[in-house]
Amino acid sequence: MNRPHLTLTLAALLAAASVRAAEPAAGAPATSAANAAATPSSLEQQLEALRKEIARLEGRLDNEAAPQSDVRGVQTDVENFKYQYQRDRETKSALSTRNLLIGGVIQARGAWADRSLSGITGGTPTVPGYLASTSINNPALLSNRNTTFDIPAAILSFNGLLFRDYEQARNLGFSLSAAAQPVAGSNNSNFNILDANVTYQLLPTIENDGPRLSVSAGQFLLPFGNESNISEELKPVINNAQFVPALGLGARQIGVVAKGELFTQFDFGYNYRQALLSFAAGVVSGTGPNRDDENGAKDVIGRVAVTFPAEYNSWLRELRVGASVYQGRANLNSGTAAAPVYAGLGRKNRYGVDVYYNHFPFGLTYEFVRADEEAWGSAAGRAVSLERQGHTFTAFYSVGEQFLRSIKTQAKYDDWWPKTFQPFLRWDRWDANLSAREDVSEIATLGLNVFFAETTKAQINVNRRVQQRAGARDATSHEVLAQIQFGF
Amino acid sequence: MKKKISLLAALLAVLPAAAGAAGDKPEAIRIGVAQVGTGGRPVSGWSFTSIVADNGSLEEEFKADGIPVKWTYFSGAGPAVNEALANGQLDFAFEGDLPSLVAKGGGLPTRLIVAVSRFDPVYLAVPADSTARSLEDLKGKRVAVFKGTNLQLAFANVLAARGLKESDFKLINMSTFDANAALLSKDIDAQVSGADLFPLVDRGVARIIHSTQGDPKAGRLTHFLVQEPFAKKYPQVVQRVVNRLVKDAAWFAVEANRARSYQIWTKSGLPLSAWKGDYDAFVSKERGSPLFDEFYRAHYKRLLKSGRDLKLIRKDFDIDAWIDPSYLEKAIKDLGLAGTWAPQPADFQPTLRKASVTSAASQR
Repeated sequence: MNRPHLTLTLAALLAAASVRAAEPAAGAPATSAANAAATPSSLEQQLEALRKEIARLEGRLDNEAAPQSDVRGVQTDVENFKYQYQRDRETKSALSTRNLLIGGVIQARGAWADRSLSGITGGTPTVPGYLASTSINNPALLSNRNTTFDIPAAILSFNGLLFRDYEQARNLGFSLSAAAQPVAGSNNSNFNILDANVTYQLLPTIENDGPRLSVSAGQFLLPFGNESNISEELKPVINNAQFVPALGLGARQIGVVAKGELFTQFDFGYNYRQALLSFAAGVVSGTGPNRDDENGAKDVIGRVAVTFPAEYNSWLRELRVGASVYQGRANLNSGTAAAPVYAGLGRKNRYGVDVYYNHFPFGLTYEFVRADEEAWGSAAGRAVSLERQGHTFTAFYSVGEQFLRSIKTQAKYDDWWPKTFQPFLRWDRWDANLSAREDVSEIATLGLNVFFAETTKAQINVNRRVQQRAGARDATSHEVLAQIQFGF
Repeated sequence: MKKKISLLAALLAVLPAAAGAAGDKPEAIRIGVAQVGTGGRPVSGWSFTSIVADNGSLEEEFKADGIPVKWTYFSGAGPAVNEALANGQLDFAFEGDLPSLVAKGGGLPTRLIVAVSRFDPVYLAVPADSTARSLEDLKGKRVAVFKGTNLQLAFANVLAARGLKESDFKLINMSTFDANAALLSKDIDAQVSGADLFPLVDRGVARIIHSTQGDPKAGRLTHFLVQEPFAKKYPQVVQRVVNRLVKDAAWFAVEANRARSYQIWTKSGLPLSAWKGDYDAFVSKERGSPLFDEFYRAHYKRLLKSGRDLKLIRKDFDIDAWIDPSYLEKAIKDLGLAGTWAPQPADFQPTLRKASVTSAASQR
């Protein structure tokens, strides 16, 4: 009730109370009332009665019951709402047996390469290995092509809880996602399962502080390093570092993995959680996604990361050093892909060290990965050792508040989102065989990410690739990728 | 080549001058508020903070200079304000005691320049049909508190005063309006909060079983702070901001403006009953005093100590050195407002205009 209205109402009530107080009591002689009104004590009594009446009426202002007409109106509104809600739920809502969040990520890309692609070998289009071209679905015939458009991925994801623990949040969650990716040489897309796993929180997660321990079973990304452990929607650079696809580390694996955090600190002053020690350990088939194991030897993965214990306001905030190990065995094939011949088990080990430093507005990441594996050497007629290694360094700077949680939770009336520009540089070196000379590939990327809506970003990457070639000059090529990635 | 070097030298000579010219005034005055309205609306109901934001006096003050005033309201309350301060997104902030103490203890370069409120009570509400009648009845039960805000420290002190510990309860960290909803759905057994609980009581769905209205030393403090580098760079701007604040604080101190203040606060979405329940018992110029008097300083020192004891604040520091009353004192002098607020001694007992909620609660 606004102030003038309140004042008027009080005045009216006061006037009514005064009239009522001045009226003689029922049945009392008018003369006695008049006489009583004349005495000081009577006036005092009337004044006191008036005060009480005003207090009572003021009390009514605070606690006035709603009239029946208002109550009936509200009842009608509630009934209408119930009907509308039930009808919409039955006819216009997607229903699920359990708590479910549906999401998706789609990438739409345009690419330009400084050399035209027109190579055909044996009827199959080939792109020379020394070209920085990431087109993955080239048609059968290519003619003088420098540019193309791609839809590299369209991902649909479902996440939710199978069991929700209201007391301690030891929840049982699930994750299912699938990606439609172009199939080389055809106009079709394969719709492949990416994530398919359940995760149980063994320790309470109801509070932000305290240790964590979870177990996941199913198909998931390997907890190895930085680059290969990032899901599609969070990747800052359009293409992965070269070691990721070369070593199969970006591929999902099937198995069981436990992840945990120890010696945690939660700074309630900033809502900032950090774990001095985080770890992961697991067993997987090692044959990649959507495929059974090929041998009896299981591959194991282990990771340990230490985050420097620093105040949120410290320049050492979010400085993490990690080490990852993957040890596995792969079947050696002394035949061909079409007619394989089992030739024993070969090593498939990967070791990595990574550094992550993200201190808004800038950040740095570095990752070193070394692979020690065996492959069938046709010339030697036996398994031969192969050592491979990669380095990746990224530096980025953010102009805008996309990565600040506080700014994203600010109160706004409209569909506001902090527009952010994130220029970055990446240097990526990959040596496919340490024993072989002149086979190193280096890609330098200059890029810009523009976050202009909550789940949408525009990316532009300029890649400069220098490929060493045995007995020939290094081949240098350039590529520009422009991509819109949107999610829902 | 010589020409190029000369050009570069000239450019280097001009750049600092250009930078200096740009530094005479800030591009904007960025103010953070550790509160939002219901439904996440960018409005708050909070002492003379809301008066300043509502009447546009700061915008008016800097209009001629072409300096926009940007208000940002944070649903994440004090911790979110701290994050924005630490990352250089804000110049000023209206905040409560605990988050500012934590941030200062962690090295955030802030100075308190105006006191905004004191005695701010905490209330403990339970669902209307709960059998709990006291704090002790809630032992082992789920109690929601917005951790990281000044509610957490005030509640910890309430518990300590009654010989209880946080571990006697299942404390759940929830934001204000999330916890309101959880209280209604009975996902929690009790909520520790502020004025937002009174509308629930009004609707007959909750009961307040504990209040600190009658105990000023159990109350919460709030203030207006500035980033130290900003104050060093733009002291005149800070002074003008404080002048406007103090002017509106003086308006707020007049009892005749109480109803109008409540009206402004209701723009936050919390109804009149919330503000009457929380503020009616207090005298405006006592609870909304901007002075850094003995009571304010002594209470801040108590809060720092209890925060340290609870290991919420990592490092000790000097409260008196943190407070910078110079802008406030100049504003009071320049505006001729001396005597508007009486300095409160360390053991000050506020004047209660009506029965506190504590006694009202005990009658239920």
